[in-house]
Amino acid sequence: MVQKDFTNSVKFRKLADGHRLVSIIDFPKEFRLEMHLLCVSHENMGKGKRFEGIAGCLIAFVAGIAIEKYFDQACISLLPKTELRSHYKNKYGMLDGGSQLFLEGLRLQAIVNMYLS
Amino acid sequence: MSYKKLLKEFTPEELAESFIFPVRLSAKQKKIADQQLAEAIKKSREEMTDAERLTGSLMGLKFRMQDYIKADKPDEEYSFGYFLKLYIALLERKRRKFAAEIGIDETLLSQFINRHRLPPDYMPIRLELHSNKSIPAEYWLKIIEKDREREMLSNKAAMIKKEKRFVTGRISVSL
Repeated sequence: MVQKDFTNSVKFRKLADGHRLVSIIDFPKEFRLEMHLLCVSHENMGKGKRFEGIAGCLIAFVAGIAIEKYFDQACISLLPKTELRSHYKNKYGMLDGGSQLFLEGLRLQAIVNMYLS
Repeated sequence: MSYKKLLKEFTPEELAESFIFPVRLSAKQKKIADQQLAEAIKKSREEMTDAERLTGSLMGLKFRMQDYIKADKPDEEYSFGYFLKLYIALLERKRRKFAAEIGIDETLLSQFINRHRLPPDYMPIRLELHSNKSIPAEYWLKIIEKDREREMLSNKAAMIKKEKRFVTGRISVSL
């Protein structure tokens, strides 16, 4: 069960349990949530991973929060490490936004439907 | 473990399926990055179709309703009226037109929105039909139940006082 921690501030949320963690920065004026950090537990990494798609579920979870908050204007973004950029685009359908990547509209809705439905 | 060490153990693809690493930018770099992102998002939003917008809006409403339904206690901010008002606003409908579309009078619609009257059983069904099954009747019904719970809890002491005289017998144990 992912828990919401609103104690830091309204703009920063940390969602964590023993197996996964994501931290989000909220940009209300831009209707955007930035995924600042995401990680899954060691047993769910690499070739011998126990479960598939945990990071995808977390990204979809953040997408769901964005949609719940900002409706049709919702957007999520991340600032990728250079070596990982193309993989985020291929795996999650993220779009180029300069040095950052983002999801909104149909692509944002699709990732929620793919991982959370 | 640092990013460089992880790159030795895992492929970039595997890392992208497990991590988003924090990236530090200078204030100047951050400003440029945010400007670039804002431009890209703006362009993408301009290309969004009406159907995409409506789907996003309805998903947002549905998630908000789900969260409220899952909550342990009724919240003063939310009510059937709140969600009905939001639904109409997201559809960008005039109240008069919307009332006609679900076969009720505009005045009655306002009474539901302003919490002056609890909605009858047909309302959740009509709203499910109107949303083309996007928002199930059960969601509306559960929110009405929360409204009733809130109303009852706020008046409980007065209600007990009023109803006491009708209960002439009681069982002998109490849990």
